[in-house]
Order: sequence, then C-alpha cells, then structure tokens
Amino acid sequence: MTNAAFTPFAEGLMDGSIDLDTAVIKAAFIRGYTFSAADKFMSTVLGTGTLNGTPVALSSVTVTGGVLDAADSSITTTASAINHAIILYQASAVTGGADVATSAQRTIAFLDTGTGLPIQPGTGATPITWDNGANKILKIG
Amino acid sequence: MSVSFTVGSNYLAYTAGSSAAVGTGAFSLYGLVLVNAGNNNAGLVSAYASATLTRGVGLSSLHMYGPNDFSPSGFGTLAQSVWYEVMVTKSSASAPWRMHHRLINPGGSPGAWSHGVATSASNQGNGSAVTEFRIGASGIAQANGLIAAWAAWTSELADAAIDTIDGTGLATVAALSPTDLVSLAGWAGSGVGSSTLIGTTAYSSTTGSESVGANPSGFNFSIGSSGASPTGLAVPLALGSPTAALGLTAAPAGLAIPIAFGTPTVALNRTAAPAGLPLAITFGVPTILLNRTAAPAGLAIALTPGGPTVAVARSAAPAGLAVPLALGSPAAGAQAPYTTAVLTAGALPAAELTPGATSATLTPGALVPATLTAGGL
Repeated sequence: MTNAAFTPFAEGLMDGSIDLDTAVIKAAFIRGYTFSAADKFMSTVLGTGTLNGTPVALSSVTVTGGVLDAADSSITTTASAINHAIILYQASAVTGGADVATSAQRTIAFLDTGTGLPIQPGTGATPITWDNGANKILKIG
Repeated sequence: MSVSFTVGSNYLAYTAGSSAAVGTGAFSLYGLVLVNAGNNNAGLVSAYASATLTRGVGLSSLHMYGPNDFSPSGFGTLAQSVWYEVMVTKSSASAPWRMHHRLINPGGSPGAWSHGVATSASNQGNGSAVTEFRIGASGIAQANGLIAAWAAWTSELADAAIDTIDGTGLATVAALSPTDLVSLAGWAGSGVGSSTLIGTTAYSSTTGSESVGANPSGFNFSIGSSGASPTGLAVPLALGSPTAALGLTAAPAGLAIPIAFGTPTVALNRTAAPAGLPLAITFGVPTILLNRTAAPAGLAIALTPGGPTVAVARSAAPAGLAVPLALGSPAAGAQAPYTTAVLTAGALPAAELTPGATSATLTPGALVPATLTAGGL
C-alpha cells in the first residue's frame, strides 16, 4: 500500500480530540499489522501488530500551514527480519502529558513507503528522517 | 564484544533457525573472524546435521578449507591478527567448495574480495538438513581467535553479489537477505549478548570455554543504520458544494416531541431536620434626605388695614318743632306733663325726615312712643 492516514484522525481534528502540537505524538516501528483505515485506537492496532523498540515522541513539532513537521527521530530497535512500517499516534491526552492507555491512544497515520521502508531494523539506533518536501510528515489540504 | 576462543575444542552452538536447508542444497556461509597468531589452524563457521559436519569453513595452515576437502593447499592464505570476512558457497549441484575472503582494514579502506576454488578440490554433494551451527571449533580445525558475526543463506551467492559486501558493516551483508544473521558484537560471555539480527537461529550452548574479545575497529554492526525516511503524507481536504436557498421562508410544522417521564421514587418517612440556615442579611444604607428639626420662627404678619369708607351718617339737627299737644285729660294719676321732646335720628321714620329739611310733618302715630320721653321734646 502507500502511506495513509487513519479516517478517525480527521474526525479527531474536527472534534478536538487530537491536537498535533499540544498532545504528545509518537512514532513507532510496527510489524505484523495490516493497515485498516477505520482503526481508531492503538489497542486495535496492537491486536495484531507488534512495536519494535520504544516509540519516540516527536520533538520540535510545528503545524504551520497545515503541515506537520518535527525534528528527525531515532528509535532504538532490536533486530528483526520482518518488514516494519512506521505508525504515528497520539500517545497522550489531547492536552499532553504522560501516555494514556492504548485504548485511548488515537491513531494518526501509517507510513510504509519511503526510502528504506519497509524496514527490517537492526539492533541499535534506527534513525527516521522525515521528509523535507512540501508534505513534511503530513500535510492536510 | 566478539567471542574469543583459545585453541581447543571450543565452540558456540546455535539452532538451525531459518537455515536448515543449508545442508540439503545450495548455500552460503559467512564469518567475520580474526585468527590469533601462534597457531595456524582455526575452525570458523560450520553446519552440522546431527553430529555430522556437512558444511563449513576453517583454516589449516592459514589456508581455507571446507569439510572433506583434501586439496593440497586449500584456498588463499590469511594473515594472522587481522580481521577478515570469509565465506564458503556451493550450488546444489555436485561441486567443490568455493571460497571467498577479504581483509578488513580498520581505519582504512577494506581490501578486495578474493574468490576461488582450491586447486584439486573435490566435488561435494548435498547432505541432510542442518540441525546445528557451530561457531569456533569444528571437524575442520580447533577454535583459534575471534569471531564477531556469522550468517547463512540457503542459496549460493555469486561472486558479484559477495563483492557488494563492503567490509564496513553488516548492513551490506543484511542487504543480501541471509536466512540467519547473528551479531556477536555485544557478546558478554556465556551466551549473553548474542544478537540474531535476521532469521530465527538462537544461541543454545557453549562447549569448552570462551571469553570476550575486541570487535573490529570502525565496523558497524547495525543493519538498520540507514534508517527510514518516509515519504510525506498529503491528506486531501474534500469540500462539499453547499446549496444556498435564497429567500425562502421556512414554515416548519410544529414538532411534537413526546416526553416520557420516568416514575420517580420518593423515599417516604424521612424526617427532615435541616440544619438551620444562617442567613446573612445585608442592610442597605438608607438615604435620609433631611433630618432637620423644624422650629419655625413666628410669622409676623403685617396687616395693613385698608381705608374703610365710612358712610357718614349725617345727623340732622332740625330745629325743634313745636308740636302743639292737645292733651286729654288724664284719667289717672298725676303725671308730669311733657315739656319737651328730643327727636333723634332714627327715631323718626325716614319718610318723615328729609335731609336738609328744616321741618317735618309729623304724623300722629308716626312717632315711636319709646322715643318720646317725657321731657325729651
């Protein structure tokens, strides 16, 4: 497939339950999950998917012009010969803070297309270099 | 750190993992190794089917050999105390072992790969499925030196493919999709620190002894070091086409909303004893306009009498009138005869008196008897 946003992401932006530059947005490598646009919460995703390493919070987040951007990330992974994609999700409450339960963590986007994707990560720090084109991480509109 | 073997029957055992077919057909084996000085033999990477050595690579007199390889001088000659990448490959057909090695040059450019078959090497067939991989001592030679990584493929890698392994790290090894790839860069002894980067093989045991050795300087053991760069995602906004009704007057029919009331439950027989409610009374500040004590001074009323018009009653002073009296004869008592009479204004009828008149006619009887006093005339 190609990179895609979860449908409830737009819903969350409209009803205020997702706030990209206030809440803690995390990126993670995930394997074993087949994208389903309707999946709203991470608990659903993790029903079949497995995260590799510890998800990392986006830093220096900006949303100027409807474009989500952040500093490049790095995730400490363990080696796996299985293809991994990247999943973006809101890990905290909409107001930020600590992680909430996965049943309350809102899915944002599933990224399996790009240089090095899907990836079979090794052991150690695996960098994620966000796109520096017009869309950056994600552009709305 | 790498695994350090002294000379002897020392080896690490791994499960067959994803590479059991290495023993039954085409295969490739890889090792990142350093042979210690002092002994020219070294077992490196081998595959066993039960207890039978079927595939592998090792050094004898610093030349590369495989199992059942009785070639007089093996392939190549490796130096001691420096790191090498070594490989052995073979197709599924009957053929001799094909050997490959390249020098890792720490801090500099790696050397080029050398590929070849030992002179007078005999053909090798296929065996049984691999049940165990051994790192270190094997049927080829005893262990000797350092081993930092190993890998296996169930296919024969061509020389050109092997040339893409660039000697700087495991990423280019991983790029050739081995069925199992194990890093020992984190080895901490006694099975701790073995990392299966690709595949499912797993450390199972140590035979003999081993210790912790150094890793090749500058060699990158991470196969994910290149990371991921996802393509930016554009989420389109789809706008609807609103229809604006012009000048329409809405006259909606009334909406009947049925309201269903629940049946409240009233708890009976409760005695309410509410606490007294303190009422804070805040008084306003009245505004008293005047608080004056009235003590009005007495009111002096100046009366100015008007000039009354007094009608002057004119007094007539008529000359005495001699009125002859005809006196009867009194019948009784002697009474002093009247001699005079005084007439006063008012005593006479107005009709009888005319102002300014000097005379009046008195009509008998007109006089008021009272006004006539004896002697008044």
